[in-house]
Amino acid sequence: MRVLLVEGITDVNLVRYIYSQIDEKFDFYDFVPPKRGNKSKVITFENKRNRNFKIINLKGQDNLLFTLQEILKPDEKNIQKIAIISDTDRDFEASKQSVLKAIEDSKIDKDKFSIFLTPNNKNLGNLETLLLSSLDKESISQLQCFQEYKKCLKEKIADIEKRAIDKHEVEAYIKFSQKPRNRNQAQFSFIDSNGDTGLWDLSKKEFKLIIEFVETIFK
Amino acid sequence: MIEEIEIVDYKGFKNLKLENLSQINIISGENNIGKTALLEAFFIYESISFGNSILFRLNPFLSIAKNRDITENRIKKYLRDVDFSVTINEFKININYKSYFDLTDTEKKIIKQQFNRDYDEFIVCYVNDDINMRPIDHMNVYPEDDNSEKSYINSSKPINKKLVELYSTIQSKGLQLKFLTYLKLLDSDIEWIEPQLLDDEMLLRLNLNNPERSLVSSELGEGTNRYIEILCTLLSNTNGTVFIDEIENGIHYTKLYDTWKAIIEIVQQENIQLFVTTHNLESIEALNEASEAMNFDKISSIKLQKDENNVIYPVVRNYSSFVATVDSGMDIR
Repeated sequence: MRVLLVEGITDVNLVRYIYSQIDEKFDFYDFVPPKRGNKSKVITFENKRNRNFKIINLKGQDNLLFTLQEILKPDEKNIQKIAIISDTDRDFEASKQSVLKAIEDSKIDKDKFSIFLTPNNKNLGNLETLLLSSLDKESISQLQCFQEYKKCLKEKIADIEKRAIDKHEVEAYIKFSQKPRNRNQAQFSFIDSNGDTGLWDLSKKEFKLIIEFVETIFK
Repeated sequence: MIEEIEIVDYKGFKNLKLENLSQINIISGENNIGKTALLEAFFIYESISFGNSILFRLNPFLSIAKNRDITENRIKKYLRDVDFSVTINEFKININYKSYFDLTDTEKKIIKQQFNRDYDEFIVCYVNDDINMRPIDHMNVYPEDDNSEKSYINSSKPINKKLVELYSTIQSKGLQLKFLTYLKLLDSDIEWIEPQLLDDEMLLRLNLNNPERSLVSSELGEGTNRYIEILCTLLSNTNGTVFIDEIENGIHYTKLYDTWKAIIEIVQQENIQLFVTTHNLESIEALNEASEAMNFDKISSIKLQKDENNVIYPVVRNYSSFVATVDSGMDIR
């Protein structure tokens, strides 16, 4: 079994999107959520083409140790690889140490793990930072407008978090692209009912590291 | 209660060790991986009486053969292949076939003391340092009255005779009303149930309302028959162990939740340890939901898997792991 643990549904869908581009036989919808809805603490997306591939939405990094101990540890013998994609947010080293501690505490063989810290394994940020870094902001009208708005937000709200602004900026980009029917949630911005939204260009160099990381798990 | 078991060289198991078993143990895994074989191993153990000296019977082996459709003319061959080694709790048990010439002098002495005629073939049971033997004889083959069958539910539709026998135990224990309450959980239209002799055959008759009619068990669906069999078996095995192969067979998925609720209530009240096999996701999810609704946490799940060398090994989950995994949507079958 090869399992990829991510922090939220947008990460799940980015991974599904990357996966769908690895091989022409692969499809975004190969990974399916459980039929019973999403009230549970964490959610497993099982690959119907290859049942050994799984993505788990942790719904926040706080559920990492729980997932490792309760769900994966009993089946450790059957697990070849566990990959973790985690945000670095405000403190790169602290985020990394937090993931490493959960791995240590889980008592699962450390050699089975690989970690990717968004946006690029060295800078601070999260998935939205990575998504935004791939865009040519100068050529996207709504993002030019957003820069003024961002300045205003920072001036008026002293303790506003960069993460919140990034999320907002991604939403503005999606919303005014008019592509996925005016939806503004990042989770729906990769594939919609019409197929590929074309909002994100995986050939951009900013996606190279995360694509390579996903390929090591699911290729 | 069986808390741990180690099975050596039985069917497909080279060395299978299970620990932290619970009151309800759900066994899953792919087809032909050994779910039923594991159930049989527990069943054989349970059939041995551990008193001052051990007492084991051939009947469980014969029941297993019967469940596996081994015909009467192949039964001796089946018994000649018996080689069963298992350690459960503190008991190291070894049961195997021996011809008279393979017996040790001590064993021959025991034979002389125990039986007043000569036999050629035996099933020998060793428990720690104790020995007990049963000759293989035509008298042993497919006995008419086999008590061990009253704790083992195989995967096929129950026959009328067995249902009536099981219900008789409920009558003897005076549990008819309790039984009826549980039965109504499956179908609230059931008014009453009683045995009936019809055309020289004993049957169970059920009176229904809405619409008002009376049916014998063979006229009912497989699910109702199965549910009756499960209820009767549980209620007649107070303080015992019950084994159910493919529990969901015949039961509609919408009734699995109520079935599990009834089972949880009975195993708690009657102090029963339960081993069941399943390969049905809905059944596992229904158990998960019923256990949460009833605040019952004495559940372990055992998934049998094969490693890269085709050796079968278990993935045992305690209750919190079982709930977390099933809730997350990960398939534990």
